[in-house]
Amino acid sequence: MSHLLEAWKLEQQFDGKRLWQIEQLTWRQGESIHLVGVNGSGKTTLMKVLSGLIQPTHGKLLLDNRQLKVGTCCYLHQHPYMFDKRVVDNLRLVAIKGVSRQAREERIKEALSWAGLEHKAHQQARTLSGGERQRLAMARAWLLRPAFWLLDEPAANLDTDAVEQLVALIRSLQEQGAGILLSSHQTTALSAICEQRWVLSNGQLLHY
Amino acid sequence: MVSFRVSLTALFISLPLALLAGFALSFWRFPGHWIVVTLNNTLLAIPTVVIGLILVLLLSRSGPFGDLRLLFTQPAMIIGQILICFPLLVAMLHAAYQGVSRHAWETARSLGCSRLYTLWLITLEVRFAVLAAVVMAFGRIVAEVGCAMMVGGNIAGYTRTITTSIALETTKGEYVQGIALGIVLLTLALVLNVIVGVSRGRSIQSVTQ
Repeated sequence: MSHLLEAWKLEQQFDGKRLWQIEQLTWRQGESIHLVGVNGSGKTTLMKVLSGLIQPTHGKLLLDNRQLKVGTCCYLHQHPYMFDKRVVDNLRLVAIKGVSRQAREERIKEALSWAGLEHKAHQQARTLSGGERQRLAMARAWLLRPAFWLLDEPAANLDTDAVEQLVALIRSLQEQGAGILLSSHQTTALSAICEQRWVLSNGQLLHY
Repeated sequence: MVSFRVSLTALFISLPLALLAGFALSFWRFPGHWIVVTLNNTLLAIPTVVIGLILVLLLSRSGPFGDLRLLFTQPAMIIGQILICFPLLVAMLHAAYQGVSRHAWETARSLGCSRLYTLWLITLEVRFAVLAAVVMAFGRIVAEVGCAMMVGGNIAGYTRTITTSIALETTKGEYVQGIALGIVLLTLALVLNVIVGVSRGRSIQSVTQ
């Protein structure tokens, strides 16, 4: 079943000042969207709102006509937070519900292989390179099989090889039918893999 | 050993509450936040004898909690030590949690972790600071004498701690006995800190492997 994320009259304020106001927004599972906006335009805040991590000041946000719950849509930070654990333990902390311990370990192995991190499984996560950290963050989220992925400037500060590996992972997510929303303040190698473009400018969201 | 039983009980009761309070102060901005932090930090300077005095007033026969008959009992000493170590634990844990990026909370929540499990994960991130806070709080309460003397009453074999014994021996002019007891207290504290240090070392080793 294809999921649908909808929002109406979304508004976000900081200290009484309006950051952005969005009349209506629809995002269907399987759609890949590139969110563009200058620094400080509120891209990160919008993504956190759409993932349920931040409550909007005003407006309604529904996933399949139900209240959006945190953890349903996965938000990934520009600089992913690595817990002070080994790579495999960073995957073990993910709350996969309704699976046996054995199935869980199998899924973790699968995730490591998907992200190309099998050989780093027992390394401390904080010693990974920027690209590997991004891939580990994606592998963590992949364990939950979210329908919507919100990637905040995932290619920032990555070298060409790391970006290519990231693109491969995002393409794989697209093939699996996930909805992708990725942000950047400029056109990057990642822009090409998105069929839609949202521009956050002067507090308004423009669709292309 | 009355000293260690009373102090460890007070510490184990205070710690979970202090973890929650320190975490809330670091990750939750609410009206009056700075007032709570300032009040807590002010309580760090309160003399233990003043806490003892307040408890005596509350727990004495004519006080509002006199019917509980807690004065001159170990539970009264435990309450006193909780009041002494709680602000210290909160202040240190608040500082420790402040060192953790908000991204840690968002990441764990985004990965489907419950609030309580996220709190646990973040506490593990600051485990060494938590350990330092525990060692410091334990040091403060096991070494205090004012409150223990006032609410415990220094009853031999029941509420007499090493520090109240030292005070008693000193008033009797038995300085050598007092010094010997002081050495016993320090030795026991040293053993405890060695255990903590070894476990911390092992933990660091496992992290760097």
